[in-house]
Parts: sequence; C-alpha cells; structure tokens
Amino acid sequence: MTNNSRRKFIKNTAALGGVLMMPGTLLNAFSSTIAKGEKVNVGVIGVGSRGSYLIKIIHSLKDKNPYNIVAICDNYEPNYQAALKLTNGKAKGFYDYRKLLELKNLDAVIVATPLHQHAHIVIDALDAGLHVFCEKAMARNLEDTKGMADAHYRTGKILHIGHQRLFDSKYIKGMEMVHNNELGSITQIRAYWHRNSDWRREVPAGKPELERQINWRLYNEYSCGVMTELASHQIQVANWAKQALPVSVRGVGSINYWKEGREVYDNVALIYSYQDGTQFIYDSLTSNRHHGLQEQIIGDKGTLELETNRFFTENPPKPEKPAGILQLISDIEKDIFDTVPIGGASWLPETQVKYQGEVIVEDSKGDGTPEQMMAFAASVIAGKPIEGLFEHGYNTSVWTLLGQQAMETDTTVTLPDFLK
Amino acid sequence: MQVYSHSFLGMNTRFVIVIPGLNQEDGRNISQKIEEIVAAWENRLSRFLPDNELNAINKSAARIGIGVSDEMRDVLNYCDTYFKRTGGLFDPTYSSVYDALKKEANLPQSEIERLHNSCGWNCVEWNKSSATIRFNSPNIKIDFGGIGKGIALKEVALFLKTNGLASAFLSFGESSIAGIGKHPFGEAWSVSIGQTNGNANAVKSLLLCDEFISVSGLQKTENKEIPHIYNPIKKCLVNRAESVMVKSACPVEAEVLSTSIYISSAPERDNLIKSFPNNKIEIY
Repeated sequence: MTNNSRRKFIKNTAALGGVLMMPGTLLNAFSSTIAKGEKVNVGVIGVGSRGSYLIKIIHSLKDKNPYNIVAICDNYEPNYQAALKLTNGKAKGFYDYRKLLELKNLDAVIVATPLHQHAHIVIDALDAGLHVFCEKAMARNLEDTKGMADAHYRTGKILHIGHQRLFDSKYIKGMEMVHNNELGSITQIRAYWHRNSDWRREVPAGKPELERQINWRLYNEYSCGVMTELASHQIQVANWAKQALPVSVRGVGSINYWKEGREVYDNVALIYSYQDGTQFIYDSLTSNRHHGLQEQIIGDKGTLELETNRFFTENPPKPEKPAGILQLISDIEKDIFDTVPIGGASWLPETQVKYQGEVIVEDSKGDGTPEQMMAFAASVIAGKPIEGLFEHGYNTSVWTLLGQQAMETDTTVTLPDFLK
Repeated sequence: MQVYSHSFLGMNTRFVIVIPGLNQEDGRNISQKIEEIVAAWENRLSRFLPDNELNAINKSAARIGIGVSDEMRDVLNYCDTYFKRTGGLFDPTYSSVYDALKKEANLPQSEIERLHNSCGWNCVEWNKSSATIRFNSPNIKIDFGGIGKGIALKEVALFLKTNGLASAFLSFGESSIAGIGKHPFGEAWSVSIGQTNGNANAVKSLLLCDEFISVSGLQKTENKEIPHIYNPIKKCLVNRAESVMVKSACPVEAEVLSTSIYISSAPERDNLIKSFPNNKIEIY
C-alpha cells in the first residue's frame, strides 16, 4: 500500500463506519474457517501480568486452541521463569525479543510489554514478516503510534490491537442496539473507572533499581497511567458507539492522593467532543472504588450500561391498571356515573419494587478476551486482517494520547496536522 | 368526556391516576410530577435504599443523636402522635423482629422476646423541638411501611389541589385510595370494596369526596395469603382472615388506623374506634 493510499485509508476510516459494527460477525466467520488441527505458531513477548494472562486464556481454549506457543520472551527473570513453567517447558525462552524474531517457525507474535516498548518491537516484528497482536494502547506517543501504523501498511501484515470489548457479546449486542437506533439519538456518553489502590507492584527486597521497570505504569517515560492503561478501553467504546471520532478533547488531571513519587496522574477528568455536539464525559481515579467502572451510552430513548450488561428504556413498562379502574375510565369517557369496584389488601407482587432495566445479553460471560484470541488466530490463518479493526485501535490510541496532551497543556486539543 | 389516566410502579406497588377532563399533554406533565413526588418520598422513606436518610438514622442513631430534615421531622411526628393515639399498636420500630420472623417462621419464643424487648417506640428518644432522634438499642430499625403510602398520597393530593385539579381518583395498590373532589357526573366518587373476599355480603359501597380509603388485611398471591404485619402487643405476625377498611379525611390516619385495627384485640378495637370518631370503619 502506498503512503497516499494509506493516508486515504486512515482518513476514510477516521469516519469509522459500518465495519466497526462487524467484529461479532467477523469473529464467527473467521472462527469457522479454522480447520481442526490448524495452528498458529506464536511467540509471546512480555509475559508479565497481561502476557501471562493471555497465555492462560489460550490454554483455556483447550481443544479449540488454535495456537502453538513456541516461544516466550521477557527480560525480567521472575516473569521469564514463570512463563516457561506456564508453557510446561514447551516454549523456547528468550531475554531479547530480536532473537525470538529470528525463529523460522513463527507465524505471529503477541506483544504485551510495557507501553513504551510496543512500538519498536511491533515494527521489528512486522518487518520480520510476522503478524502481530499488540495490547492496547499502541504506544507512548503519537509518533510511535504513527510509526506502527506505517509499518502495518508497509508490510501488509496484520496488526491487531487488543481491545477485547470489541469481542464481548454484550458490547456487540449493545452496539447493535445503538446503531439500530434503539436508544434514539445518542447525545451523551459517560464513562468512569474508579479504583482504590496504589497500583503498585512489589519490588524485590534489596533491588530498588527495579522500581521503574516493575512499576512502569507510574512513570511518564513509560506510560500515561490511567489514560493508556484504563481510559483507552472506554474511549474505544465511545468511538464505537458514535461511529465517529472526537473533534477535540479538553481535560484536567492531577496527583491528589498518591503522593509517593509517581509521575502519572492519579485522577483525571476529560470531555471529548464529537462533531455533532455529543460530549463524552470521562473520569478516572485511584482513591475510591465505590462506583467501579462503567460506560453509559445515553440516548433519548434509552441508556446502556455496558459493563453491567443493562439496558434502561426511557419508557419502562407500566403496570396494568386494575379492572375497576378500567371500568371507571370507560364510564367517564361515556359520561356515566357508576361505582368503582376496587379495594383490598395491597396489590401483589409487592416485591416488584422498581424498573431495574433489562439485560443486554442473557448468560453473558467473560470480557471478550478468549473470543479476541480466537479471532486473531483466525485472522492469521486466513492471512487477512479483520476489516477496520486496526484503524479502530489506532484511532483509540491517538485520542487517548491527545487526551493526555490536553491535560498536560491545559488546552483544548484537536487532531494534529501530521496525523490528518 | 376525555379522561387522562396513567400507571407506574412506586413504593413497591402500582400507582394509578385518573383525572377527568385533562388532555394527554397536560396529563403527561402532571403525571411526571406525581411520579417525582412519589419517588422522592420512596427515596426518603424506604428502608431498603442504602443511601437515604432513613438508613442513615437506622445505622447511626443507636450511637449518636441524628438531626433530621424537615420532611423526616414531619414523618417522625406522625409516628410519635399515632404511637400514642393507638396505644402502641402503631409502632414502626420492630422491623428487626419482623425480618427475623420472615426469615425463620419457627423462631423460638425466647429469641422473639429478646429482639422484641430491645425494640419499641418507647426506646426511641425523639426530640421534636430540636428534630433529633436517638435509639436506646442497636436493634431498633425504623420501617415506614405502615405509613409511607399515606404520606405520599397526601402529598400528591395536595399537589393536585394546588395546581387547580379539583377532581381525580388515585389508587395506590388498590389498598390506598383517594377520591379528590367529585366524580364529573356525580356528587362524589362511588366505590365498592371487598370483592376479593369472594363473599357478596362483604362488599361495602361508600362515597368519597376529598376523602381517602385504606384497606389492611392479609396479602394474597395466587396460592396463599401472606401475613405481613407484626403485632407489637402480642409479639407475632398477624394472620387474621379479615379485612379492615378505614375512610378518612386524612390518608395518613387512614393507613395507621386500618393497620392498627386489623391487628387489634376486641377491647383494643373498641377503644380505637372510640378514639377516632371522625373515621368510617368497616371490618369484613
């Protein structure tokens, strides 16, 4: 793909569009194309908490598992050893990802390293002819994000960004409801992610030099804290619901609680504005967990609360009127005066307290991660990306970083020219 | 004649509004406001909502005195007044005992006694002038279930009157009914009650004009009758197979009195009827 066509493609998909309604359909289509016994030889680069979790997810697929985990890589010894154990010694271990990329039998790599390492590893892997699954967010800065996109288009290899909600049945169904106008006109989106923890990982005794490596999420050099690690998931959901990208973002952030040397904000509040005037109101904090996390898609006909799998119509079902009241209404309409037969111990069921909304998907399980891993494998086996998926991850990462920029500069930020 | 009607869920039951002569647009505005009034009172009075004023009282009043809002002050004044006027038959403080009995029908009498003796309005220090409340026992949990619908009905009736709506019929779960003003083609609203007993002799007809009805008795499902009122004198749930209807100019008094008479013994009943001479009472 030439630079011009790539730019055109990104520009076209910047408006997103129908492709982003399709992951569920594509998931099924791709999954069904995996012939029994067909496998993707994959290496996992970065096997800390997320990387090892993805290995466990792959193992949980059992007889449907389409992966051979042939290699793992990590430069932190405890994670390296734990991953070797997790793969029962079947995977070859590497401390240097470049050596892993030299393996001849690889089809793809999974990149789950700290954020600041994503770009060069992903670009090297794509240039090595490998398909890549990279955890969100894409990169620590906009230049690296663009560089990853360039490498994806230059090589034609799949670059799948890990936004598992795109494969979560309640989100897929919820988005169908949004896009089928069941919520009416979407004029506001609200999302939050509240935790009450310092977000620290234990540094081994006597090794303070490992602090920044282990707690990379707390330092600006490596991460944007809650923005790249949490908010990016919810920015993705907002863009998905709107089928559009924001036109601007403003916000504020600070360290008002965890004043122990971290550099990233421990609380943020932002407003992303869309062309049609819709506001996406976002906040995150790390000193209270009462409200947990949620994405609320708000329309004039209803509200989705996606994390908890609920839909609330603006017109909840009304209780039936008792027979005596129906008779009374009929009498008045006919200008008749008559006796109303009514009255007794209170109408049951008394336990039907309030309208509690409706579930979006019955028996919703999991968060979409297993389905996402199946989809990536199917995509690799088919040799083609899921249409629009990369662009979705790309735009999410861009607007996540622009939100960070808005807070750091205390300005309203729009898309910079070099990304248009 | 055109008539506006609307139904919604509130205070654990259905609320139905019938307003003669009102168009749909005005009706929607009025019913939205009525829903807000009922929801506000439910939010204030329900003991099942974790973050409301009542739960703050129930959680903390055994440790410290709690100052209450003007609205809560009025409700607690009702409780104090009717506790005294009913000789203790109306007492909103026994929900710990009620909950224990609902959970374990065969709760040992000693346990009932233990819980019962640590509850009661007499163990509540309600200071009207400072509007502060304190419990003398941690087992006291106030439940406004015996008065809440009457209060909400009173507020809705007041709202309709102050908005120039002189004629309306309101039903709160069919056990609390308001006839506001007159039927458009009569001198009052005519109702007949008691059909659910399946006994033609039980049917009582009566007229309502700015008056309210409250009916107390066993709650009925398709399969069984459910005792749901605790008698603080006899220390048990009441399962008497009869109903009590009270017609009153005050919906709060109708609620309190129908419950109190339903659970009362014969002598207590005689006293209550004498003590509330301005109410019409039917037992069937």
